Amino acid sequence: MIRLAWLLLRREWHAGALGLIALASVIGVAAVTAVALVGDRVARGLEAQAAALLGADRVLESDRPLSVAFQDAARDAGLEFARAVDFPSMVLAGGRAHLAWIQAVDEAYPLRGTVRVAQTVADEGTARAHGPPPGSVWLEPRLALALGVSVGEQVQVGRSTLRVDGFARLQPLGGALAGGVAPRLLMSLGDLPATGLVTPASRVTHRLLVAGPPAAVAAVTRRWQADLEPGMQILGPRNAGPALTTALDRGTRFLALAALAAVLLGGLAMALAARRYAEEHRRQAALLRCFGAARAQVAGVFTLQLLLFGLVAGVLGLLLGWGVQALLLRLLDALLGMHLPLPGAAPWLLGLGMGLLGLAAFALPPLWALGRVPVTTVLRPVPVRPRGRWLGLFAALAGAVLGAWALLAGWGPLALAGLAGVALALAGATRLLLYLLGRLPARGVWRVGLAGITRRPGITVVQVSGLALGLLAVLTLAWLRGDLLAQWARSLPPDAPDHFFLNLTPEQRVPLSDDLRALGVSAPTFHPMIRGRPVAVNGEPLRAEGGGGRAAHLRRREANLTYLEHLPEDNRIVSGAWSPTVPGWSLEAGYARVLGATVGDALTFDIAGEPVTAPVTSLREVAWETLRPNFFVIASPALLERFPSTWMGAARLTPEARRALPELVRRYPNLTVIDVSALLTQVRAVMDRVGQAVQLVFTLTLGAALVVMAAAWRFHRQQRRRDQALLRVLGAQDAALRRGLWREVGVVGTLAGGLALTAGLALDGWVRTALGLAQTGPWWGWPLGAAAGGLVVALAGWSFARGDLARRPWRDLTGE
Amino acid sequence: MTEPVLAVEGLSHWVDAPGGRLTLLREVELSIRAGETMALLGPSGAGKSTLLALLAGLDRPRAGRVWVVGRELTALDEDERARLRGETMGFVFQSFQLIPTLTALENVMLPLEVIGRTGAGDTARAVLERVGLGARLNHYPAQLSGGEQQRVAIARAFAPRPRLLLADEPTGNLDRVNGERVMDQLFALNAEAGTTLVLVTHDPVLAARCQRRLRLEDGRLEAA
Repeated sequence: MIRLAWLLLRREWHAGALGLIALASVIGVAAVTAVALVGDRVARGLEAQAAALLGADRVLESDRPLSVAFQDAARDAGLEFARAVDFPSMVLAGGRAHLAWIQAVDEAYPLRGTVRVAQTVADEGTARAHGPPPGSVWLEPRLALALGVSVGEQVQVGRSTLRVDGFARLQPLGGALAGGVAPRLLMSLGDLPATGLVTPASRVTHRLLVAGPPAAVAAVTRRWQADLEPGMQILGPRNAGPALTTALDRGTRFLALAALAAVLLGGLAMALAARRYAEEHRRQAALLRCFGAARAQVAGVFTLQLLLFGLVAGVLGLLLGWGVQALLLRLLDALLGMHLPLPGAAPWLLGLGMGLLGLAAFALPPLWALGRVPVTTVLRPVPVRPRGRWLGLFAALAGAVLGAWALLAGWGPLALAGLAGVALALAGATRLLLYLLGRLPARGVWRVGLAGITRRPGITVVQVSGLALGLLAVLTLAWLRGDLLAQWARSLPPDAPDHFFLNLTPEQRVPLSDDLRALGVSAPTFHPMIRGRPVAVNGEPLRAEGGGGRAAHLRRREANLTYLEHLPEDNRIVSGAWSPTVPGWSLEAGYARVLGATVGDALTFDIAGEPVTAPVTSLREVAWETLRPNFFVIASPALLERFPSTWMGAARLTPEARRALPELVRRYPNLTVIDVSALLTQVRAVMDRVGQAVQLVFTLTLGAALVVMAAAWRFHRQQRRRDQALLRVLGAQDAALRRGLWREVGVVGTLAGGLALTAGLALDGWVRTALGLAQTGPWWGWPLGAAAGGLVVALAGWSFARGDLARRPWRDLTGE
Repeated sequence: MTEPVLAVEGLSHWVDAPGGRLTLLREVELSIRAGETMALLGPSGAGKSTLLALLAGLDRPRAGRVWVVGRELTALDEDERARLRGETMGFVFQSFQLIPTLTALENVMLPLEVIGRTGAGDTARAVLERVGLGARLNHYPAQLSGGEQQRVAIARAFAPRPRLLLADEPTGNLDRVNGERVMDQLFALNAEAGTTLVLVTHDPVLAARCQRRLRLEDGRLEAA
């Protein structure tokens, strides 16, 4: 049977009958593979980058010394490991003192990435794959500036005097922003006991860093998780650099949506082409049955044919997908500035799997039905009537395929339901329009053309709504994409702060603001910060246990509370209401979940030993990727004003202010400055390039829409040829036939364009209202796009169908 | 003597095949008077359908001339041939060739509308009633039996009152009983309208009902 299937397949391939199914399949597979490959490689690149930022694949963090069992678990699994201890402490040099974040690391540190160590503050430095040698320290440049030391000089850490060996240029840790991070000092773990800074009562963080093969890392993480105690948490790559991760996640989701449209259109094209193919092969199927093949055998031959064919087309799709992915990454690669590791097997399997699944869902039902072809078809062609059943089967299977991809791509059931809703609405509207069109008076050649459209409603609905959906996808992407990306980019406006100033005293706020303004910095913002530990919800004490490491960590950690008159612009209330005059807390929604608190609950924070209880008045969503100052907890001013606070400032520095930074640090010695400009540039660049990347994937969508068009016009080719030939025999002249065909393709183009326009305007309005997007393009954008789309449909239809204008009518009619 | 409805002079046709020239018709001469019925017999591949296509102006012969109702068909361009065909000829095919998306009535109206005749609906309805399908006007071809479909095709052929009817194996797809019934109607309508009939067939019984019988053998036309 395989041999027969292969033989027939080869013949069909040469005859070109499978071309359209192949094209649709290749495009669908390519779109999925390309997007999955980009997602996979970028995720791997990010993990590697984040691991370099962490210095490990996983870090186990604890506020008490870690038992050796954790280390043994890592050793048993064959992982490399390193130990580190960190804590804040004052560092002294030449009579100056500054708070530093001390990190004491052993010889194995770092396990991933390198530390760049420079000899001057301005120098880029060279990469070192280990920590500072015993007896020496590496300082973060701003600490060196604050202390006024250079390489070779000495600093005092606790009881020890250590030599400055270089300046470590470390990247900012996104997650550390809210914690009030002092500039860092790296020292050898061996030197730590002598400093006398660490006693059993000290508040230090003990870290165990591990690295190794992913499977072993995952296994060890699981073992750790089982033994996790309160006060411990496991950090992975996702905990590092959330801003960039969010930007890339969002970017790949845009890509996935474009690919989803390509898959959907590819599927439609496959369905049309397969049904045509099945109809063309009814005689062959009947002949096989005539020769004694059982029904299952006939169905088996065609199914196998499809499977073999799917594999061939799938491999082609994978190759094309790789090419597209390479182009996409060329756009992203340079700016990500990171090495992108080779992909794993998953994207390939996903692409091929989606291709085969798509074929099975869209193309198999009509081929499977060939097993049921009556043997008498050999003797006399039995006219095939369109049946409703296969449409239902297609819809179910196609829904499953699209659902699988949508979920994999991170688009929730809502997005998918929306897509299905749009498709159904288009189909319904097409059906109604066809009914109305069918009532139009028509004569002669035009009557034949119109009847061809309106009296095969099943297939015409698929054709027209498929084309309309294609146009809709293309137009939506073209029109909405710009504004969506623009809105996204607006979350990072050109004046987004790129420097944060922490640990300001209330008295320093005005002078620092004046100093910054004098340096040309416009509108620096300042927020009070008050440390508070959540202790009770509705009088019930909070327990530290449960909910995993991070949740427990957040519950027992002191949070930075602030009070404000107005909520930050990019915060969105999801429940309750905000009023600065009503005493209460506004919580970030995720934080509220961790605390188990909701609107109306009485929440108590311990602030400087005093319990402060107030109702939760609202929950907020916070756009963390904006890199603006954001808070888990915002209080109404009356609630917190009386407590002592430090202040946090945020500003976009002018080049002048940037140069004056060392002087500012000297003037405000307690100040901690965090520079996020590099990260900001990176995130903004990702946003820009995602626009281009989406456009590239969108060409695949466009390609798929064109294949739908070809499949649709090809669908009734034989019948159309026969109709045209008959009309010519009956005396119709060339001009009349051409006119009829133009009208026919014109009607289909108008229907598809009109439906795409109506649905597009509705979708556009809905998305803009839901996301608060402003209309930036001209009002005629949509109508013009739809008209152009309709015209393209009609022109493509003409070019596909004009070959059917009978040249040799007798041959077309009699088959001779 | 009346002018022949159809006249053929020195008609030859060949195609260039991979093995060299394949001659289908050789120096065919033919003349048919108005109202005459003629059967064209011959084995498969003898060129019967090719001759029919050339007589209808659906293809151009390599050599020779064809006149229909006094106009030289072979001198006309494609559109002029189409107009002449629409105004003077009717066709009946072996596989009916009804348009599946049109009802029986619409199929019969079609040739009238193509040549711009008025009252197509009334004419078509009358002819369909004449062939016994008055109750099937709004049925689609797929809802009709083979015999009924061919009767629709015959109604369509006669509706514009053609002067020349070309029928290509009209009973080829029908069983004997249905075939006979359909042919009875065809001959009856033909007699009523005084149409000239050229009937291509394998069936000697059917051929016997025509006034004249010719045989096409090896591209040459001879009396049967």
